[in-house]
Order: sequence, then C-alpha cells, then structure tokens
Amino acid sequence: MGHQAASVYRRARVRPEGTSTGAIRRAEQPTREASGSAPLSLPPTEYRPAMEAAQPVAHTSGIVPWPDLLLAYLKLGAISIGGRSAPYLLTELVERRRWLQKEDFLEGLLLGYVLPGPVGASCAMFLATRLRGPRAAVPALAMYTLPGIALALVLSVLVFGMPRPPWANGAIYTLSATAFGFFIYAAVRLLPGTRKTRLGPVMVVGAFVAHGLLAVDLLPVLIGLGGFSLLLNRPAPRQAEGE
Amino acid sequence: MDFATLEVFLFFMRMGLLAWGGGQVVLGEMQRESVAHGWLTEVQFLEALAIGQMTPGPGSTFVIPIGYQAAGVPGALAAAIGFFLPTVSIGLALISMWNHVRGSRWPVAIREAVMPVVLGLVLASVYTIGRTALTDATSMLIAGSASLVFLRTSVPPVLLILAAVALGAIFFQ
Repeated sequence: MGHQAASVYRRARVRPEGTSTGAIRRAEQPTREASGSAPLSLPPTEYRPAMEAAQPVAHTSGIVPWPDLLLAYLKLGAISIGGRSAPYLLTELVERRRWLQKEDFLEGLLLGYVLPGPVGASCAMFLATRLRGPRAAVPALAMYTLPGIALALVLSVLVFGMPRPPWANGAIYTLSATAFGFFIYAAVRLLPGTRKTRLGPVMVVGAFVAHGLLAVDLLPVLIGLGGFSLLLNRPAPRQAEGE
Repeated sequence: MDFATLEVFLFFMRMGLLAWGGGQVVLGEMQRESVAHGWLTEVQFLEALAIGQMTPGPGSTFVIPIGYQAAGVPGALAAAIGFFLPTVSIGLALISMWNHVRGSRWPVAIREAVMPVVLGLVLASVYTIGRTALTDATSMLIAGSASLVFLRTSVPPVLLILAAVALGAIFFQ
C-alpha cells in the first residue's frame, strides 16, 4: 500500500520549479500502475496534480517521501524570516512544489486560528499530515522550528550581551517592511479562493470589518460569521443528494 | 531546574495555552507581566520582538529572548519548551481528530463555509499589523514595492528580504 501510494505520488507530481534533475527524472519514470504491473486500487481522487486547481479540497492528500518532506520543512524553518511564517508555507508547499492546494493552506490557517499556540506551527503540522499522514506532524514541526529556536538563542546572547550597533536598527526597519510586503502578497494570492462559497466575498469583507476595523475578538468573528456562512452553505439533505 | 527557570516555564506555558489564534493574541499580557516581573524593560521587550522577526520559523520565537533575559540560557529553553510543547501537543491531538472527520459531510461544509471568514481574518491581520509595522511613508513604500515584486516576479522571498536587510543596514542607520 505504501509503495502504491508512493507511486501515485510520483505519477501526480508535476515539475515544481527548482526541483532537482534527479527528482524530475524520477517523476517521469513510468510507475508500476502505469506499466500495468500493479493496477491502481486507490480512488482516483486520492492524489491529483495541484495544477488541477479546480478540484475541491480533500483531493490532494498523498504520500510525499520522507526526505523530500523533511528537507522542505527544514528549508522553510531556515528561510521563513519576518515573524510571520505561514505565508512561506503557501509559497513553498502550494505554489513552488505544488504538493497541496490553496484550500489546504486555508484549512491549515483555520486550524491555526482555532487552536492554541503559534498559527504557523499548527498550520505546518496540519499540512504535514496532509502530505504524509499523522506521523509526519512532529518530525516536520521539529525541522520547521529548530533552526529558528537555535538562531533566536544565539541572537539573544548577542543582542542582550552587547549594545546594538546602529546598522542593526536600519536592518530591522527594512526587514519589517519587506516581510510585511510578503504578507500582503500572500493575502492577495489567497483572494480567489472564496468563489465557491455562497456569499463568500461578503464573508471576507465582514470578517475584515469586524476583526480589522471594529477590533472584535477573533473567536467571536469565527463563530458568528462562520456559523452564518455555514447556515447559508449547509450540506443538502441526504435525500436530495441521491437525486 | 532552579526556581527562576521553573517560573519562566510555567509563565510561558500559561501564555501558550491562552494564545488561541496565535502568539500575538497574548503579546500585551506577555509584555505587561514580563516587565512587571522585572525580567526585562519595555525597550528590551521590543528588542525581543525584533529578534522574533529576524529568526525564521514561527514568529513566537520572541519568547526565547524574554526567557533568556529572565533566567539565561536555561530560561530561554524553558520559555521555548513551555510555550510550544503543550500547545503543540493539544494541536496535534485536535488535528488528528479533525483529520478523521474532515471528509464527512458536515466538516466539508464547515471548511468551505468558514474559508472566506479565515481569508477576511488574514486581511484584517494585514491591516492591523500594517498599522504598527508601517510607521512612515518610507516603510509603506518599501512594503508596497516588495509586495509588487513578489507578485510580479519569481524572486525567492528570502533573497528579497535579505537584500532589503542589507540595504537597510547600509542606508537606514
């Protein structure tokens, strides 16, 4: 089953930008099910190329090999500077590697908002489970957080152990502004993701006004507007589904 | 573990468990209590936030410099473990539960219904963080230009941010 799933992963993987030649070659090799030696028994929607962006969420989970997964998270843990790491998950796992879809990322953000602790960490754990099952969450999170924890410890000793040089203030000033520009970019990239939901754009504006302009707490906004949106988008009764 | 380290651990564990919606939710409380404890000054608290911005990974790594100021290296580690470990454990359990039911009818409906609200919250974060992060016209210009470059080109974000840091170190001293 594991091998089969890995074959599905290889078949489905598109050529991500920056993928090594070896990885591309592996992706292009005929897989067992493609050559007919092992008929694919998984449902056809088990893993699909992320290029099929029109596919609904829950169709993207597959098996990413451990080394690829851990290296991707280690890279994310090493480069996601700026204080808001979640947008990097979007660019690396969804846009660059095309392992997941925007809906998966938004679902991870949703969980990040409703769970205690850092949003990025919860989102990273959830996306790891989407890529390689529940056992992937802890190792992926370790790769994602340990570089930052080590660097923060070193910087703490340096910053609090000696006076800050003038150039550091300038560096932090531009770091903060540029990282915020990246945050804007990630938000803009997510905007088209609400078309499927009835009154989706209204909910976007409502949440922005309530939380951003009126400073209503996060949980009441999620429960209130989310509940109202669920009322509008509730699943059809089972009888109707069969018709 | 000495008393100061234990105190740091318990403090950050409490902060982590209160941080529903992300580390920024408890920023104000963390600042008030850590300054009241005498662990660091308000200026040092802002420096701790700056360290959080300079380090990769979750932004909540700013708890490490606070813990360091409170009880040295053991305090830094106690802050990290206290803030991350309990919340990650709870998160892991709830994510596992969610993954078991997420394919069912109602969870699918919840997900699709709440997505726009989450996106609205992201935009609200852009607005509220922007009000504090962009302090003048220059920082607004930098942020706007950076977002355009990210949108229009395929420059890796980290390269652009590092280039901006280098330019800032040279021209904004």
